[in-house]
Amino acid sequence: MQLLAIVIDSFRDAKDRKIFWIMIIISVMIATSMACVGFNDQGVDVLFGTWTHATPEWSAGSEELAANVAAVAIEVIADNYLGWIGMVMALVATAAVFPSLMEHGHIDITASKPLARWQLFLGRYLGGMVFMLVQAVVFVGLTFLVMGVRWGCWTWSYFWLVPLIVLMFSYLFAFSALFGVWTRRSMTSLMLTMMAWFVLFSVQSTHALLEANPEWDKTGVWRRTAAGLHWVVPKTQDITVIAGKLVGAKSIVEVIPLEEAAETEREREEFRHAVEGQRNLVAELNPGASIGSSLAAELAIILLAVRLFSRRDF
Amino acid sequence: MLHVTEITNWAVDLIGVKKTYARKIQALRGVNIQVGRGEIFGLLGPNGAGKSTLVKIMMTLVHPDVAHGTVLGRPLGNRKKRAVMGFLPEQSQFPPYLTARQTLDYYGALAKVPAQKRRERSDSLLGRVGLEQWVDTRVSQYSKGMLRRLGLAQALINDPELIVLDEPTDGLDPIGRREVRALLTELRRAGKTVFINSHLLSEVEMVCDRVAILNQGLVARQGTLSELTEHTMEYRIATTVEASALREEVERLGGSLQDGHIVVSGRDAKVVNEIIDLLRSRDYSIESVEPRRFSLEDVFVEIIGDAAGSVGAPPVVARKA
Repeated sequence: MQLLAIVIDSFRDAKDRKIFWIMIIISVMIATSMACVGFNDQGVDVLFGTWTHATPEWSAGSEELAANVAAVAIEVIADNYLGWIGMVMALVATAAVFPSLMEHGHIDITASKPLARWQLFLGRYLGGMVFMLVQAVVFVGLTFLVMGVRWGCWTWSYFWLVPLIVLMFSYLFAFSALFGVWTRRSMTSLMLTMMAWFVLFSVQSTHALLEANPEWDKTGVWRRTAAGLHWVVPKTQDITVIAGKLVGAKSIVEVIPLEEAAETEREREEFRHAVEGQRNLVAELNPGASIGSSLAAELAIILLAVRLFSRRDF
Repeated sequence: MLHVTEITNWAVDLIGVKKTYARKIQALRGVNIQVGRGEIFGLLGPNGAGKSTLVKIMMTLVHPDVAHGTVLGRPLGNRKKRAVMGFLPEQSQFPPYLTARQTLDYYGALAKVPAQKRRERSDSLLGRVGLEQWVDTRVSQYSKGMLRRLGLAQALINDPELIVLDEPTDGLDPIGRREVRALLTELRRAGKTVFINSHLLSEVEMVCDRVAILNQGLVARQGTLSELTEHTMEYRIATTVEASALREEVERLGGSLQDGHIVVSGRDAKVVNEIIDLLRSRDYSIESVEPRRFSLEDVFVEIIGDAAGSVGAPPVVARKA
């Protein structure tokens, strides 16, 4: 009863902010934009017949359409929403979840109730996750409906994006919670979370680069260091790859025959290298290990935040 | 560090509570306080005396360095006992997106009050604190006084045995203050224990059975109002003709002349009788002999005055050389 009350209140807190509705509106706008694009016998149809682009591999009923659409959804929509736009907005919306709880007058009453501090923390944390879950369901649900109704592609595996969006958010929200508890200020906590995200990005990118180009590190020290760091941090970049794997999508370089459009052998080689690199990335990624180690890192961050919160004088 | 002491009949029995904040500021230096069940207890003290820290330690908002004792027969900080405690902090801030009814429902749920009971108590409590017309208005639209009333209702939602109120009448108009006093008296009649932290001495004097005066992190004095004031009684003797000619003799007997009256400090009637004998022997007509009880404010000023120059400045722990 207590935990549920806190989760609901935490969600209400986030919902009361304008950005909640801005995110809903953005989801609706993205779905509407997608609905403006259709497919007919000739190819792509924009603005309900206003403009048609003859592309046989994108024509209605073609076997490639479902895979192409899924690829676009993953690469263009989900990649961007999941990768940063949706996350940034959700982090902004939930940045105050912990600082607002810890405001004088509010925490005095709440923490005097018969529940442990860790329960209070957990309730607020779950409330932030519920906020993201609602946004993810709205976004994925609307875009799924457009793809089904307008394009005839009922890609049920697309719903894997919902838990993945929430999972991705949880990696970052753990930092937000830690910094929120530590600084008690929404803006500072948001800035620190962004910095932490940048550090995660740097660690993962460095690791990927060194793995792809082992000749850069003759001694192997940097490569091993990057691999070690990569193992212990939440792996945000893996989520989009896992999303592609689960939805069964191909990467955009595989879908669009850019290789054929290349004029020189060198360009063709670059495209082949890109496709191969993308395939290797997907093939080598172990979702269980990636998610498991990331969740372990998230848990460590949460435990640290709980410890700070529990030992704090209000 | 918490220690279980023997189970007592006190609602609050705190022994040796100590708290030092960062920068070595000693807020509490070994506070002992006992509050009887069913009484209204007032905690007084100047700013920086450590009152709020003590209240927050009782409500587990602040971790003490050392705290022995019990609250409602259980060790200080016991989570289960907090289900039968109500708390109104000095500043109450409620989620602005909730209505008064939703606020009480939320805090009632946190206090483990069943849903049905929450609904019943919410309506009656909001009526009791005079918010019946604003039950479905968002808290963000409430005035300071209305928030204080809602805070009181919140503190009572779980029908607590012990109610801890930090400046309960702060922000209320005179009528609101009177209503709160009536509510406190009502709670006492219902057998509840009320612990009030206040700087309004007159209010405390009106409703409290016992008080403690905290100064510089220590209890300077504690007891019933009569116990606190009896040692500082004075007599004022009025004569028809000013007795300034007898100043030396009056002072020798232990009295003094103030504003044309002879004043005898303390409650020793023997000195009064000796001065009356003196006046009669010199043919002075005695108009009145008035025993005067000092108010709580007089006692407070006397105690705080003893520590002159340090009011509001909490002691600092000396650094080791």
